[in-house]
Amino acid sequence: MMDDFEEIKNEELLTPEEDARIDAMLTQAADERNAEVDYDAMLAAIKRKASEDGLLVFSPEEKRQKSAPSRLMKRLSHIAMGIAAACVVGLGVAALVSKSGSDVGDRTANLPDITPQSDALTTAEPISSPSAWEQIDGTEGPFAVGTDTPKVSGGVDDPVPTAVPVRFNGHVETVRLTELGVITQNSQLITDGICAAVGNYEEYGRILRVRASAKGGVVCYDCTVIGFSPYETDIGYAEVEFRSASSFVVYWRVNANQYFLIHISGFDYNETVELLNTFVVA
Amino acid sequence: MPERDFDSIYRNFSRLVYWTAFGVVHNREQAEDIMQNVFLNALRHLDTLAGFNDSQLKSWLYRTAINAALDSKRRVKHEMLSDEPIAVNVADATTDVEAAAERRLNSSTVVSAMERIDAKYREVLTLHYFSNMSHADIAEALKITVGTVKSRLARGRTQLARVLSKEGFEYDG
Repeated sequence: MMDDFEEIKNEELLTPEEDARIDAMLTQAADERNAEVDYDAMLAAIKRKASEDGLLVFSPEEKRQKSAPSRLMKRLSHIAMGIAAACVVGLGVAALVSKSGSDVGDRTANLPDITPQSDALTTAEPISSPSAWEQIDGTEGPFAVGTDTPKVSGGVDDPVPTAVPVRFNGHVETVRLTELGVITQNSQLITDGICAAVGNYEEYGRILRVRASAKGGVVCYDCTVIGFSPYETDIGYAEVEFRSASSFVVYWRVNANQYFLIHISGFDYNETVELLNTFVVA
Repeated sequence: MPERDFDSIYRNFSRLVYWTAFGVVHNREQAEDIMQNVFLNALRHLDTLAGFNDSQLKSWLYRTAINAALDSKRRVKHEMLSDEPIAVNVADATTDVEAAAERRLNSSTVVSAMERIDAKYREVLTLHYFSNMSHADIAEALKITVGTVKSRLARGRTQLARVLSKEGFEYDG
């Protein structure tokens, strides 16, 4: 609730009679249009599709089959607790920005029509794959680095920080994951649950942007959770793309269906590595 | 969560999701597809959503619908027609049919005119009138104050009246 109240000048308003008439027209239009929408038929279609996808289960046996991957997903999500630190705004940006002696940007909530800098961000899938319950087979993809065993610890059950390799323009950097909180499917929960008290960020739909003026320009990073990646990265591993000398995109696989995507802009290589390491607390 | 709880969520919030999507894509079939995807996504995350209160749930559904609609719109690449053609068979018209056709014409005119007002006003008008959301719920979903919701509603109605007036539509009774 950070917006300024939008005042209305009296001369802009309709008369009470005109306003009532428009109100009635809108109400009537809404009623007419809602009457034309067959919500029951759509519910039936949703249930049919959900049943096909195995999302609606009824028998005890089916429930057991569903609950197993669900528990696995929860366990794997522990890795995301470390990654969620990316949204502890003060840690990442404050450290780098204070080093640059700059101020921070304003928080502006709910700006739906901006175009993020990264194409990857704009094409993010908000709806997770229908194969939401499928676990990856663990096959090492062409970009995977590190050991054969994905690192899935670092959560509340494992307080020991977990080293996670990040392939970074051919170099393997190591960052470390620890517990910090719970990350969920969408960035709304990230912002509400973790960043709300921090401020100094802008929210573009599901994308959280942390921005500051520094070094004669703007440095920022965007973070969001997406359901796909161009890379076949193992869980717990990340792939970093160079978009330019000061623009990096990180695809960090947090579980079978989710990638934590970070677009870092305005920082050089060393600062980017430093920033990444502030995302995860050693 | 048992299936009946999903039904309850659907019953309470399907209008919100549908009209939120429609407000972005302006196409009925697309809005229906988006609504299906949003509720399938909700089914996948029922365990999480079960812990939400009504306000949080509305906010989640609204934002998921907006994001899905924006992605759908990007995929389609082109703007769809703002409204369906008005089908009125004059030859078969009776008094009832004529009245129904007039109501349909009026509602189509209003919906069409809404496309020509500022997006931030259209957004709150859609949520309030078409999705039946309260001022407080809209404020929560959009992260604005209730006062701003009210002012946007008033301004939205004013802009709508001006658009209708320019088109020669009688709105002042």
